Amino acid sequence: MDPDTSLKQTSAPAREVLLGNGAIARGLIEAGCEVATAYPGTPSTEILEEIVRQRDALGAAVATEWSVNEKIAFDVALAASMCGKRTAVAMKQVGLNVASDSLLSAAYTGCLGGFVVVAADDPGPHSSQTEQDTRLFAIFAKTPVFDPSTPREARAMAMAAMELSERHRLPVLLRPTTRVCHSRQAIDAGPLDRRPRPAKFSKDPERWAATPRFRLPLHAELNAKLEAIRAEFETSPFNVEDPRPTPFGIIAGGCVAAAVSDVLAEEGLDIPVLRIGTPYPLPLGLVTRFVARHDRVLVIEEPDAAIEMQIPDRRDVQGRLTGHVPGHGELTPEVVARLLGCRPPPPAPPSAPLPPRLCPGCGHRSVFYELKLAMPGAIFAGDIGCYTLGTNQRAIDTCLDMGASITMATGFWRAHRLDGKDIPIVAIIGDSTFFHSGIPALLNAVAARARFVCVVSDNGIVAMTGAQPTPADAGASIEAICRAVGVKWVRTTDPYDVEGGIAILKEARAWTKEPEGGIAVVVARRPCALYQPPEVRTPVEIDSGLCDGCDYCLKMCECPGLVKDRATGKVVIDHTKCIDCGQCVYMCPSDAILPLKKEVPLT
Amino acid sequence: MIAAAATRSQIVIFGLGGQGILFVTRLLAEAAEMEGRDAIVSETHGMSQRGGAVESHVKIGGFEGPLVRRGKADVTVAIDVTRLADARSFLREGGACFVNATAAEGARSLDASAIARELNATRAANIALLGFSSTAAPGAFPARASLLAALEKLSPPKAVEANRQAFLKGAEKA
Repeated sequence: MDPDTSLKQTSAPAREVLLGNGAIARGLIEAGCEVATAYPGTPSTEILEEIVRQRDALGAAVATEWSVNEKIAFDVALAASMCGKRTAVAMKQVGLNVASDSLLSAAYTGCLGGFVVVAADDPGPHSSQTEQDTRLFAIFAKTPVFDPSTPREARAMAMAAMELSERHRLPVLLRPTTRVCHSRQAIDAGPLDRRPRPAKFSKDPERWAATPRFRLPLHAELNAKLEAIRAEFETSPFNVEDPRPTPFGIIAGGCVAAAVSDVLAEEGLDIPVLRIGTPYPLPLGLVTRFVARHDRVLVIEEPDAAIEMQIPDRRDVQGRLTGHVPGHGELTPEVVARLLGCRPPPPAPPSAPLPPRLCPGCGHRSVFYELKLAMPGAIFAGDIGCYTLGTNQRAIDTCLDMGASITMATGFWRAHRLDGKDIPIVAIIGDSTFFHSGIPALLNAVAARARFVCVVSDNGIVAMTGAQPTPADAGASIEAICRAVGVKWVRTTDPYDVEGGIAILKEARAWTKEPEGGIAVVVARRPCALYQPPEVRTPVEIDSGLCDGCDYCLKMCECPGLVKDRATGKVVIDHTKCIDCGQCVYMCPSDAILPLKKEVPLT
Repeated sequence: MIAAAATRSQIVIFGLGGQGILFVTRLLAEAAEMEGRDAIVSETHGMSQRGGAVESHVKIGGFEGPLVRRGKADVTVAIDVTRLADARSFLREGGACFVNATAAEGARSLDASAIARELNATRAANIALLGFSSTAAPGAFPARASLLAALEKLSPPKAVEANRQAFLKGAEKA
C-alpha cells in the first residue's frame, strides 16, 4: 500500500551501524529486491521498516506493503516474483504458520525472480507463543534455509538467498533469531543490483495452476533442485570447518555458533568447530567427514534439533536428541559455557523481574475495567497484542494465537449451550488482529448463530510492534465489516467514557439473550496513548485522608502511575509516569482519587 | 581527551522499558564505530519494552556473539536501582558497577535522575549516568570525544544540548 517507488538518487553511507533486521534489509535491497511485504511481529518488524528507510536513502525502487496477514504478504511477494521481480516477505516464526499453506505449495510451483522468505525465530521465547524452529519448517516444506550468526552474515545471506532462489526458481528461507535481529553491528554495504527486471507474467498453467496430475512431476523437479542445492552447500562459504582430527568436536549453527566462538576464545579452549550456515538441505558430505574425524561430536543449535536429526549416523553425535543439550529455552552464552564444562557463572539474583504492563493512559485498560464491571464472571477470550496484558487486570482468560478470541468464544458458547447454559462470554480482539484473522472468525460465529459479546479494542495502529499502519488508514471500517458479515448489533464507544461503556456492554450482553439476538460487537475506539496522548488532560491527586489502602485501584486499574506508599500503606500517584488521563478517578471505591480541578484538601 | 580504551570490553546496561536503554546502547555502538573498533550490541524489543525489565549488552573489540556472559562484564550500569542486583551479578571480578541512586552498596552511585530534573530533561538520566560511568571507568568505554560525537549524531535535534549537558554533569561527578 505504498506507491512510492520513485528513483531518487541520494547518498548513503558505505558502512553503517545497523540492527540485524537493518542488515537483512540492506542485503535484500543490494540484491535488487523490488517488492517487499510483511506483517509486523517481534523480532522481525524492523526488516520492512528498514527497507523503507534505506530504500529512500539509497534511491532504490522498492515497493513495500504492510499486508493484512502473513499469508497475504507471502502471496503478494510470490506473485510479483512470478513476474520476474526479485521479492521478499518478512514475518516472525509463528507468522510462517499462517503463511505455511502458501509456502508448501510454492515449493512445488517454484518462482521466477528471486524470492526470499524471512521468518525470524524467537528462542526463549521473548515475544512469542512458541519456540518453534523454522529450520524444521524448511525441511517439512522442502525449502532451502540460511541461518545467520551475526547481522553481518545476515546481510550476506540475504543476498545469497536471493541469488540461489532465482537460479533454482525456488523460494528460499532466511531464518534469523532474536539475537541476530536485535543486535547491532557496523555493516559494509556494496553496490546495488540495478539490473532492470520488467514485470512479465508468462502463462504456464501446468506450473502456475498445476492440478494434482502436474504436481507429481513438480515434486520430482523440487527433489532434484534440493539435491543440486545440497551439493552446492557442500562448498558454501557459510559452512566453515576446522579440519583438525581431535577426540571432541562441535557442530554449531546460527547465532549459537557466535556464542560458541566467544566462549571458546574466552576460556582458551581449543576445540574444532564445524559451523553450519545452511542447515537445509544439510551438506551431508561435509558433516559426515567432520563427525568421522572425532570420537564425539556435540551439536549446539536452537531452538530445536534440525541439524542433529539430519545426520545419518548419529552414534558419536550428542545434542538435543540425546539430552546433552537442553530441549527448551535459549542457548545463552551461560548455557553454552556449561555445555563445554566451564566454571559456572555467579548465581542470578532472586529478583522477580517486573512484568510488562499496559502504558499509562492506555484505552485497553479502561475497556478491561468496564468489562469486569459489566460482565462479572464472564469468560474473557483474549487475543494477540498489547491487550494480552489484560491478564494483569485478570480480564483475559485465554491467549492462543492471532484471531483466536472470536473462534474460542464460539467454542465456549458451543460447549455451554450443549448443556443448556447461558453464561456471559466475551471475545476481546485488537483492530489489527481483527483485520489479520478476526473477520473470517466473526463470519463463522455469525453463521454458527453463536451468542457472545465481541469487543474490538481499536487503538488505530499495530501498537505492540511500534505503530505500523492498519487497513483502517485506507478506509476499512470495522463497524461496516461487522455489519457486512451479518452482525445485527454493533455499537461504538470511547473507552474513556467508563460509565457509558459499562452501560453499552450490559446492553450488548442483553442482546445475546434476546430471542432474535446473537453476536453483539462493541468497537471501543481510542488512539494508542503512546503515540497520541489524550487531548483532554485530567490531572489527579489522591486524598490520603480518603484512601484506605484497599488496593482496589492497584488490582483493577493496574496503572504504572499508581504506586503503594510502603510507609503509609496508601496509594499515591507517580507523576513521572502518570499522563493525566484521569481514568483512575472511576476506579476508587472510596472516591479518594480526585481530579485536581476539584479542591483537594491537603493533609 | 581521555587515553585510548582497552582493546576489548564488555558492558551490560540494565533498566526498565522507557528509560532509554536502547538509546545508550546505540550510542556506544556508534561511538565504538567512530573509533574504528568492531562492536556488537544486543537490545531488548517487544513486549518487555512496556515497562518491563530491559537489558542491553555491549561488546567492543573482536567478539562474535551479542550477549555478555554473567560474571564476565567489565562494567555494568543500572539505570534503575531495582536492577542493581542483576547488574552486580554480571560483573567480572574487579569490574565496576554504576547505579542511578543516591547511595548503594557494591556499586558507585550517582543520582542521575536528580541531574536530569535539574536540567528539566527527565529522560536524560541515562545520559548523565553514561557520562559518570564512562569517566570513572574510561578503559571500558569509547573515548569521551567519540561518545559526545555519537550523542550529537543520534540525539533528536531538540535534545542534543540537554543530553550534552547531562553527560558533562554526570562526568563532573566521577
